[in-house]
Amino acid sequence: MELFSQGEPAHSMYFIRSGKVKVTVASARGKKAVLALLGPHDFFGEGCLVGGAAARTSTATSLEPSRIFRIGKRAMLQAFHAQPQFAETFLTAVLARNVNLEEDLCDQLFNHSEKRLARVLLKLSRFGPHEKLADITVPTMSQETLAEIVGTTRSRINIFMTKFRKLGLIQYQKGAKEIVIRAEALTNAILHD
Amino acid sequence: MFLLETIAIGRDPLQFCEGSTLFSQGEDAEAIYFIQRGKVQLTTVSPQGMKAVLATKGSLDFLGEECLLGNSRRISTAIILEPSSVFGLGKNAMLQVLHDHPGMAEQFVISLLERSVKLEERLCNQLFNQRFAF
Repeated sequence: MELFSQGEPAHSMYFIRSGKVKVTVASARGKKAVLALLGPHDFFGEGCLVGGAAARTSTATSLEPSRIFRIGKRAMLQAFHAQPQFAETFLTAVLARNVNLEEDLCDQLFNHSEKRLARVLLKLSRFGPHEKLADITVPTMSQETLAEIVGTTRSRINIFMTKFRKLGLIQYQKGAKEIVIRAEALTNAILHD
Repeated sequence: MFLLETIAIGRDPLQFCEGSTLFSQGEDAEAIYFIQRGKVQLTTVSPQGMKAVLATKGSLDFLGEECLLGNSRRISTAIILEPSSVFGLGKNAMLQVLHDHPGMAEQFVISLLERSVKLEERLCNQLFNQRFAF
C-alpha cells in the first residue's frame, strides 16, 4: 500500500511499529532507485520538518501488513519543545541515519556493482561488521528490486547472484521464497576483494 | 537566537591556519565543531586508496556530529582550507547545550535533517547515474 508519493505536499512523518516499508525515488527520466528498506522502530517522511512548503522527495510503500504511526509536523515540533528526552532520542536516530547514508554514498563512490550487491545482501541480513556472523535466512527479493538498490541493471544482478551462489556465499532455489545469506563468507569476499 | 550564538557564550573559538587537520579518518570521534568563520573540507579515502570529497563546510556550518552517537570513528578527514575560527565541543558539553536551551535541540535536529535530505539527493544521483554505467 502506498503511504505517500513523490511530489505530494509533506505534512507529517511516520514511525513503524511493526511491518516493512520500502522508500523509492524516481528520476525525471523514470529510472527508479530504492533508498531504504525499513522495519520496526524506523521512521520515514521526516523531510516534512525541513523548510516551508516541502514536497515528498520519495515514495513510501508498505511491503506487508504493518502498524504505522503518523505524526503531524506541528505535533512533532511541539514534542521537541515539551519533551527534551524525545528530542534527544530522535536526534540520535537522525545522526545514525546520516552516518548510514554517508556510508552508502561512499559505497557508491568507491565500489563496483558486484561489491555493492554483496554489501546490500549483508545489510539485508542486518548484521554489522562487528557482530557474530552466521548464516541468515531472509525473504527473497526480485532481481529488479536488488538492481534498484545497488544501482545497476537486472541482468548484471542475475550474473552476480549466480556467481555468489557458485562460490557458496548465498544459497537459493529457483522460485523459492527464501534465500540464505552466508554472512561470514560474504564478509570475507568483500574484505579480500 | 541561533545555535552558534548559544555555543559561543563563555567559549573561545580555536584558531586554525590553512592546511591544518581538525580530525582524521579512523580516529575516535570525540568532538563536534562549529565554524564561526572559515572553510573546512571533508575527504574520505577507500581501502584501495581512492579519495573523494564528501563535503565542504563554511561559516555557521557544523561538522563531526557523529561524536554524539558514542563509540563512533571518523569516516572522513577534516582539513582547514583557509584561516578559520572554530568552536570544539565534546559530546557531553554539546548534549548539555541542547538540554539547557530546548529551542536549540529543535534547530539542531532540523539542520541534521537538512543534511540528511542532501545526502539522499547525492545518493540518488549516484544510483541513477551508475545504473547503466557499470
